[in-house]
Amino acid sequence: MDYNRIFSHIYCENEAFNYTLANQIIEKMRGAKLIGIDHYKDVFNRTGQNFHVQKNSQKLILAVKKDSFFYEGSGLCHGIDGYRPLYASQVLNCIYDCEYCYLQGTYPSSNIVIFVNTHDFLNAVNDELAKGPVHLAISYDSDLFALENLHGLSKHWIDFSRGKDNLLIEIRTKNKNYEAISSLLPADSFLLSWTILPDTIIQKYENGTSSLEARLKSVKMAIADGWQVRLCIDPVIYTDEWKQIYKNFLQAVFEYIDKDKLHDVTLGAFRMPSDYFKRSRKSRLDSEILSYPYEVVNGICKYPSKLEHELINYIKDMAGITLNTI
Amino acid sequence: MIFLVMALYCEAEPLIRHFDMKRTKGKTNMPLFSNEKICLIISGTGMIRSSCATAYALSKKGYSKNDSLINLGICGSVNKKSMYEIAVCSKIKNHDSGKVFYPEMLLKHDFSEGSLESFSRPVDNPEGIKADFVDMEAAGFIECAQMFLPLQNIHCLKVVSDNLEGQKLEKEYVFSLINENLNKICSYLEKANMLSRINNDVITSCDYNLIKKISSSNHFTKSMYFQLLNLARYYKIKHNNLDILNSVIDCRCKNKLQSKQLFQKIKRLLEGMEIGLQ
Repeated sequence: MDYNRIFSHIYCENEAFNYTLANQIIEKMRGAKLIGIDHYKDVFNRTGQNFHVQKNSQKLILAVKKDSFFYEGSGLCHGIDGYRPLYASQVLNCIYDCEYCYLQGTYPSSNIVIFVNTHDFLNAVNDELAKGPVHLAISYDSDLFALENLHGLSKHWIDFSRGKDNLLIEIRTKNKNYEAISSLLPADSFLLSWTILPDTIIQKYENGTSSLEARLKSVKMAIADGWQVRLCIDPVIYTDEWKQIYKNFLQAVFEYIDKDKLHDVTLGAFRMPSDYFKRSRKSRLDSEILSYPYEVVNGICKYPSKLEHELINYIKDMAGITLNTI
Repeated sequence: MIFLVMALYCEAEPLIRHFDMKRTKGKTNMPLFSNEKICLIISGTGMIRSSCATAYALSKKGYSKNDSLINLGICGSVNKKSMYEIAVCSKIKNHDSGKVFYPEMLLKHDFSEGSLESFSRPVDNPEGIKADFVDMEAAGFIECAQMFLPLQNIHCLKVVSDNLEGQKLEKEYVFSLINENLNKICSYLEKANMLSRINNDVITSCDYNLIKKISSSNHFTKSMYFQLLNLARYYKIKHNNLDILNSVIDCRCKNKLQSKQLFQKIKRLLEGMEIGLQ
């Protein structure tokens, strides 16, 4: 099928044209066709979109966020003791196409929205810091690093975090693009997290992401430069020969990365709110992961308890370090 | 099936001839032509007519979510584009209601692209119009089309006929606008059709029939049917066939208990060693 290339079209809210970031992005994507819109939801929330088909030619939507600059963190995510978990979604959706991704059940579209009013996000978080320490995840609904060369948002957030003792910002990625920020001085209040899974899982289920080797190289460079780095073995996916696959994976990871230099390592088996899961399954009728007969417990789709415990305990034993589990 | 909605017979004639479509008898004054693969309706001019024709063609012929729906016709160019140029509409505005529609722009093509505004009356002066093109149907067509089919199946293709100078367009000229572009239009229709037919379901219609047959012959509930369907999907992804169900195809349960026992048996068959619990 002859699809348009990624970001062949940019939909820009008329108000967003007043923001520097929007104009910088438009300038960088000079070949793209520009379409003015009143509100991002006019495009993003259209009925009848196919999330999966759109992945073949994702469009870019530039918008101005008016309210709800952050949300309370989900109980399904790993937190940091003593910090109130929040997440901010300055970018909606991801350029990758992971088979297990909850975004396909979250949004009606796989087009990418970038909110260009960065300062409004920063100001809102500033106000929240007055209430106590905050652990702010800024890339749960996207992979900010993957598009860093386009929007440069990670740099803004890193600079914002400097000198703020009661803030810990976490950016999570499956990308090797550490170089995009390697020229910056490490920030104490900024945590770089890499999601890692065995390469067989990456190749089979994480379309478009960087290889394990490339991610680990970035991890090593970031540690060497003095950044706080978290590794996330998440979501653990059940597959044929899983014991051997995860054993080899853990050996390779901790032979290459000095575990003592990591902030922490988190671990979690595949899980998803059941309403997101239903929509994800419906949109991807060829997915092995999404057709697995999961259990639903308290509105969460997960592996049957016996298997989940086996997966988690085996990996904990094999890793030989304390893993932060949900 | 490709559904084409066109305003005038002189626009449609080159396609009717090319695809050797035959007229279907109907009670409306919107002529419907079709062959095995294409259905073309002539709506007459105007947004309401276009809307009605779209709904009528779909319901008359029957449609599936894998059909494509295309509005093809002539348009005026606000920015003095060349006559005979083909344009794909990326934004369509209904001038009267102010409603704006955004077709999916997934397909690569060699045509122009731009915004289009649909008016209820012919436009003979481009002054004050912000869109690139104007016509009298597209907004009515797309508003209706979106109620029936997924967005990626809906397309709006226009051929520039004039620069809004108010001249009357002769039938022969309108015919030639489409006829001269026939090959390009047909190639776009083919691509659009391929896009609509994308189906990632590993369960084929034969598989669906098999699972329905097993379920109905054994009085399975709807919930049991859906569980079975999903397990069958998981099994098929792993094994690329559902031959394992052949052993239960002739089962006929006579009561609830037998149904439940058979369901458990099929579940075990499909789960096998695959789900990591044995």
